[in-house]
Order: sequence, then C-alpha cells, then structure tokens
Amino acid sequence: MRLKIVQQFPDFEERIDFLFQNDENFRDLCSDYDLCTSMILQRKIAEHKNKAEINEYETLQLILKEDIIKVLQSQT
Amino acid sequence: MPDNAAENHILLNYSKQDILKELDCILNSELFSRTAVLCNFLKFIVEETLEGHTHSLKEYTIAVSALGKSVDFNPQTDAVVRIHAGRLRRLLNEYYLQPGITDSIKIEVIKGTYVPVFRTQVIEKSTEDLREKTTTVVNDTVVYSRSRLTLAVLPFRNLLPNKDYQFFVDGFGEELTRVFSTSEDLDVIAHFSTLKYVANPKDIRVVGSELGVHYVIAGAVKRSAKQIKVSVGLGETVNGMQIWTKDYIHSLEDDEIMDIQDQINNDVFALLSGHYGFIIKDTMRLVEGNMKQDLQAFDAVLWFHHAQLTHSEENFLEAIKGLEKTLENDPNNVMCLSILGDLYLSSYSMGYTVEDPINKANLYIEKAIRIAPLSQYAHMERGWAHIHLGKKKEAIESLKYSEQLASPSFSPSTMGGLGFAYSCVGEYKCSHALLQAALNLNPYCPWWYYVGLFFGFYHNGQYEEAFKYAQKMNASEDVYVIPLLMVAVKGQLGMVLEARVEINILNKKFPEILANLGMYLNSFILDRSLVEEIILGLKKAGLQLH
Repeated sequence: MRLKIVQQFPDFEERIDFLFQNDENFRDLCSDYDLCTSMILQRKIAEHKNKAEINEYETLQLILKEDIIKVLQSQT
Repeated sequence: MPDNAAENHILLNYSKQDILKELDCILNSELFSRTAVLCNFLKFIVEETLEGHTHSLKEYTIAVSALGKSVDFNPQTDAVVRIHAGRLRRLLNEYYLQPGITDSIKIEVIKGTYVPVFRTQVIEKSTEDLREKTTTVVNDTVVYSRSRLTLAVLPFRNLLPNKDYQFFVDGFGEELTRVFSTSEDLDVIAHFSTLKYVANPKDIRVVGSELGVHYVIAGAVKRSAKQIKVSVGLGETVNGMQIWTKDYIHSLEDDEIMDIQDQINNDVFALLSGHYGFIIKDTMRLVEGNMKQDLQAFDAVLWFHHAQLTHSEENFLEAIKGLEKTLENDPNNVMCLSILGDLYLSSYSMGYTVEDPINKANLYIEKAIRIAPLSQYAHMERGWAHIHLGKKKEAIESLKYSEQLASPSFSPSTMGGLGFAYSCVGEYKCSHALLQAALNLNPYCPWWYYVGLFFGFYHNGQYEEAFKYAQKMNASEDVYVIPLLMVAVKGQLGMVLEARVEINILNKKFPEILANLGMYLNSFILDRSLVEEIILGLKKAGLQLH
C-alpha cells in the first residue's frame, strides 16, 4: 500500500515514509483510499451496471485523496 | 476549569439530553454541515446507542438505515460503510481539535466498533495553547493502536483489614504483567502506566480508551481468619463487560504466601493466554462472515486463529491470503511471518492446495528468526519445517530450543503445540507429559492435541485408550486425518463393521490422499513404525489401499 501511495504522490515520498511509520491515522486514511480504489476497479472489471454506486465510490476516492494531500502538506 | 475537569466519564454520567445537545453542536458545525452522509451516520449510531440498541450497530444496519442503501446491501462486497466510518472518525478528531475544543462532552468512534463512546473532554491547556493547537490540527490526532491484541493488568484492590499483605496484593499486578509480557500473542501495557488507577479508578471503557487496550485484568484480595481469597476478572474494554472471573481460595496455614501468588498467576496465564486461551476465544467473535477486504494485521491474526480451530481448507487459504496482504504493509511483522510459516506447513500436511508450501514456509520462518532470534513460535515452526523435510535430529533440536525459550512462562497453547510436534517425531513420553499438562491447565483445546495423545497410545498398542482420544477429535470435514485414525484404531480393535462409516468418507472424499497415503503420513510422522502400524490398522478394518 505504501508503494501505491508513493506512486500517487511521488513528491512526498519521505513524508509518506515518516507518516507510515508514525501515524496510524494516516495509515488508516491510505488504507481507506486503497480500499476505495479497489472497489472502483472491481466494479469496472465486472462491468457493474450500477453507475450510481461507481460514481459514489469515485466521489469518495476524490475526498480521500484530498484528505491525504492535506495531511501531506500539513508539515511541509 | 474545575480541578476534576480532566476526569473522564462515560454514558452513565450524562443524560440523553446532554449527549443529544453535543450531537447537535457537532452536526451544526461547519465541518459536519458540509457532509450529510457523515451527519446521518453519526446521528444514527448515537441515537441507537442512547436507545440501547448497540447490538444492531452492524455494517448492514448502518448502510440501510443511515446511508440510504437498498435492503440487498452486502457488506462483504461493499466497503462503503467502513470507508465512511474512517472518515467519520477522522472528522470527529478534527472537530474536537478545532471548533469543539471547548465542548465538555466528547463523542468518539473508536476503531473496531461502530458503538460511539461518550467522555468528558480533557481541557487543561491555556487559551494560548489552545490557539496554537488549532493551527496544527491534523498533526496531533489521538491514535488508538489496534494492530495487536493488547492487555493491561490493573493494580489489584487490597480489601484486607488494616491493609495487611500490601506487598502480596501489589505483586499480582507486577507479576501478571511480567508473565503476560512473555506471550507472543498479546501486547501488555507496562504496569507502571496502570498505577494511576489505584487512586483514581475509572470505567474500563475509559481505561481501554486511555491505554489503547482491548482487555483488562483486574482483581481484589480478601481474607478470613484462616483463608485468603483472590478474585481475578477479565474485562472487555469496548463494551465494558466482565467476560471471565475466577476466585482462588487458599489456606494461609498450608501455603507459603508467595507460592500462592505464583500458583494463581500461572493459572490465570494458562487460562487466558495462547491460541486457545480465553482472550483469543473471546476475540473470535470478531471473525464473522467472509474476510474483509481492508484486512489489517490484527484481523489477519484472528483469521489464523479461526483457521486453526476449524482447519477447513477455505479458512486456511483465506488466512494465508490475508496475512500475505498484511505483510505488504508490514514486511517485518514477526508474528505474521511465523503464522504464515505455520499455515503453509499445516496446509502441506493436510493435503490442501497450496503452491510450493515447504519452501515458502521456510522463507517466512527463517525471516522471522532473523528479525527475532528469540521467537519461541518461530523456532517451533522451524522444528515443524524440519519434520516435513524428514530431518528428525534437527527437528528435535529446534523443538527443544523452542521449549527452552518458552519456559518458565509456559502457556498451554505452547505446551500443546510442542507436545504434538514431539509425538510426530516419535518422542512419545515427552509429548504425553506436555499434552497432559496443557489439558490440565486448559481443557479447551484443538483437536490435534488428541492426535498427539492418540499416537502415543496407538504406538504402545493401547488401542482402547487411543480409541478414546480418536472419539474426541472434531474438526472440519476437510480433515482426512480424523476418519483415517478412527478407521485404523477400529481396525486394531476388530471393529470392522463400525469402521464402515469412516471408510466411506475416506473413499468418497479423499481418494487422492488414499492413493498416496504413505507419502502424506510420512510428511509429518517421522516414526516410520507408527506409519506402518496405522496402515496395518486400516487394512485390518478393510480399507482398500493401493
């Protein structure tokens, strides 16, 4: 999961490493983001018919991404 | 603020109106007003809790009743509630660091449960500190570590007249903390951190939240003229329930006081610790339904315990999958590495479909030992790896070393694991002593303890005794060993007709294992004469072997 987050935010690698080591809330946030991403992927692969559900997950994914950015930028 | 403002209290100290007022404050704040979903979520779980409906606070109910999902919502395939719960937890943290910083009541959603906790907020900082704090919101959030089962031993209460024997009472907290700290399954909070509760006793839900623990052990000491009574209890911090208790009554004339303490401490450790102890058993409630997709190390280890109890192929494979996923995030987690070694080796001996199990197990076990050279569990698994590779001498060496690492705080689970392993290398006397001691300490045990005892009796030709233990074995239908041993012992006892049921099961469900039986048995029984005797018993019962 750490790798996926670093791939998403390559400019913050050091900060991500620090937070992964020291901040369980940040790990949970990344874990939720990862889970959300996999939910979207699963539904797209399965050609899920409920577009509203995919939209809901995509909105959630954006919110979580913003939250991650907020944490990453908070001490830099 | 008054002096007692730092004290925490839970629900009982507030009226419903107080809590609903705090809920209103939160919902009307700017932070929450931006998100209707989280408002509905929080409102629902708080109101349900106030109505006493905490048992209904499950993912499905929250999805349907609070998030407007349809009745066919499936929490196994839809993670939306879990994701929103994480968001809610973080937003509440943020709320209490900013606009809600002066609120007297704090509503929290602790990880691992959807039941909110209501506490008095600690407010000790000066206005300047508070102002400073509001500018560093996200960096100073409350962290509840849930990656391992965690326990605290609270100081025991001294109810003796004139406070006699204070050293004896104090010794329980210190000694139990020390004894439990040797367990690889649990993290234990340093006893010093719990001493503050002597003068200031608190609800165990608050203690759990403050110390970040799942369970607490507490106790009290009383005496009559000739007897001393020690009551010990185990409490679960999430819901505040007392889930186990035991009274120990000793004559003061017959025993030395410190011996009494050691006996009690050892008994408490034996009953509560280990894979089959009361704590893991209680935690098994959390493992329900299919494995969740956001598995953490904590959940994965619980799935391993679940797999160990059932021994079903599906549970084994799911546990392997989950643990390997957690290793991606936490590659040096010794417990996960050792457990994976255990699961791969067990899968191999059970004939389950896993790719290259011995090599994978070896990789995990050796890595665990490199990181933690004194891990008793990892060395026991190294012993098992040697057993599967047919290296008897090396297996015994590893098992002996593991035994050495386990003592003196020897949990029944460790004794049982080593006892079974010794039976597989043909060390029956040693095996019998350990398995009997484990059963005496904690009669709740997995089915394979009985296999170890069965091997010893069967090898000695004591078939009646072996039959007695075969009847006690009970596991998933995926386990071929149980019907197989039953047929063998029935064969030796001349119970040919009675063996037909198990023979039918073996023929129907395990033809591949029967076709390669020697290979399967030799993969975990290093005493070749025992394998031959088992095959002889099977033939006597009328099982056709190729």
